[in-house]
Amino acid sequence: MTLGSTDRLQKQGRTRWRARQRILVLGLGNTLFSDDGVGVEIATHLRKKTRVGVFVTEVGTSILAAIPFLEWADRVLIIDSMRGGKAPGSIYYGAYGDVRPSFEERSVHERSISLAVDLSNRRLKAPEIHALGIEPASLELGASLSETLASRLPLYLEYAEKLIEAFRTQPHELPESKTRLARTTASAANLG
Amino acid sequence: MATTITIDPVTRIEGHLKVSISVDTVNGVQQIVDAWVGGTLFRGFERILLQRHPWDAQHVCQRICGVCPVSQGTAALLAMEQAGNVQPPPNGILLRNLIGAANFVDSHILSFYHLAIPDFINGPAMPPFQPAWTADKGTNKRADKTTTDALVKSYLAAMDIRRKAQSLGAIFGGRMPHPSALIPGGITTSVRPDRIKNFKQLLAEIQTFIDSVYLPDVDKLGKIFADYFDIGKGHGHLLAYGAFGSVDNDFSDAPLTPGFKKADSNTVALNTRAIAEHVTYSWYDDATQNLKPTDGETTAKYPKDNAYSWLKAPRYDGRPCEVGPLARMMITGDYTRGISVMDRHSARAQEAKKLTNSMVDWLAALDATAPNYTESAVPVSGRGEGLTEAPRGALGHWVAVENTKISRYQVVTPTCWNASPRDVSGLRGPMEEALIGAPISDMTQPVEALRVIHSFDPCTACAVHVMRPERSEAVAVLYDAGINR
Amino acid sequence: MTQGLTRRSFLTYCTASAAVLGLGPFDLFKIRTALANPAAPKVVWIQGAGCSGCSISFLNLVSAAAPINAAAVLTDTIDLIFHPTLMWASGEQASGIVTKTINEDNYVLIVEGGAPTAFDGGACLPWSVNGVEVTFQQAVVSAAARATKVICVGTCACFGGMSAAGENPGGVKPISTAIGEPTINISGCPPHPDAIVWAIAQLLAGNPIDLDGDGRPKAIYGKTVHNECPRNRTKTGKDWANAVGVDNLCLELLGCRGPDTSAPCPTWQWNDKANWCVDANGNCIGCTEKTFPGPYKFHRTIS
Repeated sequence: MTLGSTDRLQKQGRTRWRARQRILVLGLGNTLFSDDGVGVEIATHLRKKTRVGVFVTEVGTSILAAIPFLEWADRVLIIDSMRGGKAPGSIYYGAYGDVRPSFEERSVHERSISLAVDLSNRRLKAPEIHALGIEPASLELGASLSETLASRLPLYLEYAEKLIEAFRTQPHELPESKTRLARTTASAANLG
Repeated sequence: MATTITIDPVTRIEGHLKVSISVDTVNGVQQIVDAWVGGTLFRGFERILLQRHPWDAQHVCQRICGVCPVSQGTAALLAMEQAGNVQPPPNGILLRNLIGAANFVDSHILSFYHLAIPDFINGPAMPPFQPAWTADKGTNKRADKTTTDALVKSYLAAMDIRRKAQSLGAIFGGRMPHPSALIPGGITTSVRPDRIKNFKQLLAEIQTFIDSVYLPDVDKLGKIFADYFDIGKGHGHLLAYGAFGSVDNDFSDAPLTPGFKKADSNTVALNTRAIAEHVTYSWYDDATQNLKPTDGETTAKYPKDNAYSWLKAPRYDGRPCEVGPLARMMITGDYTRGISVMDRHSARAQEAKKLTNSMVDWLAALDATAPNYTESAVPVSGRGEGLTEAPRGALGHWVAVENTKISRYQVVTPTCWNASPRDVSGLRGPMEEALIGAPISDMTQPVEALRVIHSFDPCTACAVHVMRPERSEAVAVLYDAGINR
Repeated sequence: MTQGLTRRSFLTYCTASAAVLGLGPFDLFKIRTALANPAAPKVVWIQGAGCSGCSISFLNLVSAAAPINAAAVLTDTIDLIFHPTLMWASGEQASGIVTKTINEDNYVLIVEGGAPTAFDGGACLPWSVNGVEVTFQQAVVSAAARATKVICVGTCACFGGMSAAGENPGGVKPISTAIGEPTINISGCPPHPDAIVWAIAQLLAGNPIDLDGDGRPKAIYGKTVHNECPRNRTKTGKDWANAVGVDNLCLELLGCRGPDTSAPCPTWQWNDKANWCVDANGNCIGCTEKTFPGPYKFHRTIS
């Protein structure tokens, strides 16, 4: 995944943005423990539809496997089970920066995401990380989602689609390191 | 390949606005494929109102907007009267309607002639008329010299007519802008014969101008720019709270009635519980996402990833809604042609005429011997909601009083509806959506985008929001399985 | 009206209103000379944190002699080279105009609205130049630097006003504080259109303006509303009004701030003498004062 000729950098006010966003959707979780794997389940369904500029992958619990993807992305949407205090099946959303402390308490996987980011080349300017969390009904050993969550799967997909579409259409600031990288490796004609 | 153009400043509006558009060629036509509208001023009127005496609200709130101060003051009065359980007498309501409708008329004339017309014609060779963008104007394709001269003449005449409409509002308001006569319980001004006489005289002059100049000019423009009846529709959802009713909030005889009209559907009754505000793309804390105005609170957060506006995104049942003269006239059924740039200008002009007719009726109904004001005690505590219409659309104020001081205030203004940014599901605001599909003939002078924007008559000083100091939850609940089945 | 309108001089207006405007024959000559000079100062009008009420009030100008109204001011009297609400230019063309003028030309700066400092000035971003947003804080400092004179129009620009009231969440400051220089303060919320045009007339004539301790012209703000008010009890011998909505009686007991407010309202009145605040039985709320709005209530009530 390198910069292609279609990736043009534009100046818009104070921000520099790419004509096409690079969106990474990460489904996290352990599918052996019922609702713990809801993120993986959602990502599997999302993958069925191809979207330009969007890469969906279920990393499950192998968080460090996400490192190369994190280096590529402008924006990351993590989908995972999350405890937020509302009824099972509820949906939460937060920007990673804001939810980080609470997220780490609630999801064992989340601690590793921070590590993955730190180990990637993105330490200085991490991609925007957003989280879509689903309140689990059951974390018992089990190969499938609880009825509470399974019945709402279309709803979760709808919210995930909306967020992805929102990310795609909203310009944002590029990380400095990427800009420098862009200048040295892409032809001048393609850059603003 | 799409190119982004930013228009900053958007001139000829009230306040500060910045618009970015993404332009690409689709089916052989160079047109707008995406848009972002951002309010670039924050003042925070709730903080300004906090701890003030309840009877100060209408004075303070008028200063939210110098172009529609009467509406802002009226909304404050309605909210405070509900909180204090006081009802103005019929004369008081009539006087408020007279002052308010005068403000509508002066604002509509200003909006068409001084804020919008410059997008369509070339002006005299001196500032502030020139320099200006020249794309898609002038003799070759658009207004010829005779028409241009006539419209410039109208522009200059209109400047004075709107001044007279301001004087009209001052006759019973005390002064324009920022009339002194607004008070909870009614209006302070007395109904004197000389005032009635002056009012009639000025109103007649204004009516003549509307009939012989304003309406014909809108028609004229609509013929030269007929393509603009098919540009700038947007989502097509319309909303109105209604205004200028009589006592008891009875809108049966009001010229502006409340309602919600989903795109391509019939008008249904308004349900204010369906209103909530999103802050995903606004410079406010994400935790205050999707709150109803009665519970509304925000904490300003600037800068913030993804955000591009000081306006929040109000939604009705999750839908972005257009408000304003077109919405009102379609909801009452007075206007049926359609939704577009030109339809907005037509509806605005027709509404101005309609309201001058209403003013004749209200003036005739005034009883010079009856009281204009109901005595009442200042509320020690209470809550109130004040819904009305400003020239630009539906306006709501929500107030809470504790210990005879204002303890909470929330304002959702019409331009907040129209110029709203995207919401959490990424739905564009009405103006943003209306920009989609507009052709752009000259990328260095995207005047077509301005024509769409100005048809909404934006007034962004009204983009004021509430602030609360306490910490909020960092995570937003998008869907609560406990409530939603 | 066609392109190529010629400018007439301000003279007729000034002659007719000389007494009111305080201009003598030598001043009139100076104005004529000033206007005949192609290098006559342009007028740049910028807006910070405000409500545009001052601009609306300016548009309400009406006079018996030329310029008879705002349209005449724009076409016959001044070169209003930048005004965000009125100018026909847009986008970077507009911000280019103000940038060029403040860097190269001879101009008078009019400022409406206060200077917000919250969020490092990000609370108000009036325009972009070359794609970079400019905060109003930066804009007003740059614009004031080469201005012949800086006129603050409206109480927000002069003293912070309503935009800076209460806890002042926008961090709004008066323009004189923002630029670190004294300004000519035409205060009022809104200010009277005659006062705005008067100040411009004085500057075009090259007259120094005698200012009070708050930077306001003494010629306009030299008298209090109470002293000039026809309802003043020393003139009428009548009692105070003790209820709302009573004509012809002094409103002091109801909270009128007339005694503490310097403004010409009782004599000039408002909107072509359609009315004025007190004649409508509305309290004067002291909108020309440095202390406006203040924490104190506008209405004196039982509770």
